[in-house]
Amino acid sequence: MLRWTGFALSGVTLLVANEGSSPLSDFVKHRFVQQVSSGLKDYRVCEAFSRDDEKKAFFKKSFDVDVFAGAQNFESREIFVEEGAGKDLRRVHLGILTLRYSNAAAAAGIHGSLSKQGGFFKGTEVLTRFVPIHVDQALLVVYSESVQNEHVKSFMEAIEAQVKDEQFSSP
Amino acid sequence: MRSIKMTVGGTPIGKSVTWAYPNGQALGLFEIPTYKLTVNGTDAQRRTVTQDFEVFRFGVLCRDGRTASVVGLAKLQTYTIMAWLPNYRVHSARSMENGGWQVHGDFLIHDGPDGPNDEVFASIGCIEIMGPNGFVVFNDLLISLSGPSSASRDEQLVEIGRAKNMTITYQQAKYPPLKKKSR
Repeated sequence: MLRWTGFALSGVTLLVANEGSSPLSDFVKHRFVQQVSSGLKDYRVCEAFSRDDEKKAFFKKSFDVDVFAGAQNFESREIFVEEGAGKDLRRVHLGILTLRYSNAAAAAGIHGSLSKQGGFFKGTEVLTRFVPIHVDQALLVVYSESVQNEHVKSFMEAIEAQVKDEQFSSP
Repeated sequence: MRSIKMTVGGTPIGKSVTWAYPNGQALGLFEIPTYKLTVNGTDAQRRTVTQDFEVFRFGVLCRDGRTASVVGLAKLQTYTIMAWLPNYRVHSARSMENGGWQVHGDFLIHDGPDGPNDEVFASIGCIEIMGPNGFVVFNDLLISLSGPSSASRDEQLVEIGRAKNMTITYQQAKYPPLKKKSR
């Protein structure tokens, strides 16, 4: 299904096609928006899209292990929940990287390596917390630059269990 | 193009949080003072314009994962801005707040934290422009005070860098103490 997502960039709204987002990343996005928007009266949910080669280069330098080795495909999403404008703009960030491998063991192997990294991207100036989540042949990396936001802290603590509790017939 | 003078103050005006870049994630957060960056220039109508920004000037360095130290440029010094670096990336997502101005070697001016309660930026001596969309506002100001002829914003920033019409003076400052953020 082809969805259109608005992305506000310096007052200009661009329409960018986002084709075939996975049920896993949709679930994570939904939970994130639910958590961080609680208490907000008027908020926007935006997604920023980057070229695949840009994202691959970024993730290759952010992890100790090459998460793309053996991956059949990947999906990368950058989500912002925003409120206000100008000097009063508040923006909370979430990134979701979904990788799909040929078998569950390959996904588990990468998950094991990522779990040893200490929970933060390397080489980024913005402290970026991440949680790797293994679901069958898929591996999710859920990450955020909004590491001091209390809602994000709670979300990052809970998201792995929430994903595991959910039944994904085709992650 | 018109010239622009920037001055980084030597007296703290506030405080923020940082972490020990690049390997000190496990050391937790540190308090770091913030400073005033004043931009002076003239607009297209030849009116004098002065605007202040809150910035990081010092940061915390940790190479070995265990020991941290305060770093940055403390002496009085002036540089001509060398170039706009369009591919310098601060954020994981595409953002108008990516990119940076090359001051001297690896010392840059680039985006900083939006506010005290969300992001934690590291610095090892770069000037980091704070506030929501702070780096966009900063670059918009540089464009309006320079008067570049290029059509697109990206090209205007490159043109401004090539013109080498911008200077930055760091007023003398004391190195702040290394201070862990209290919980």
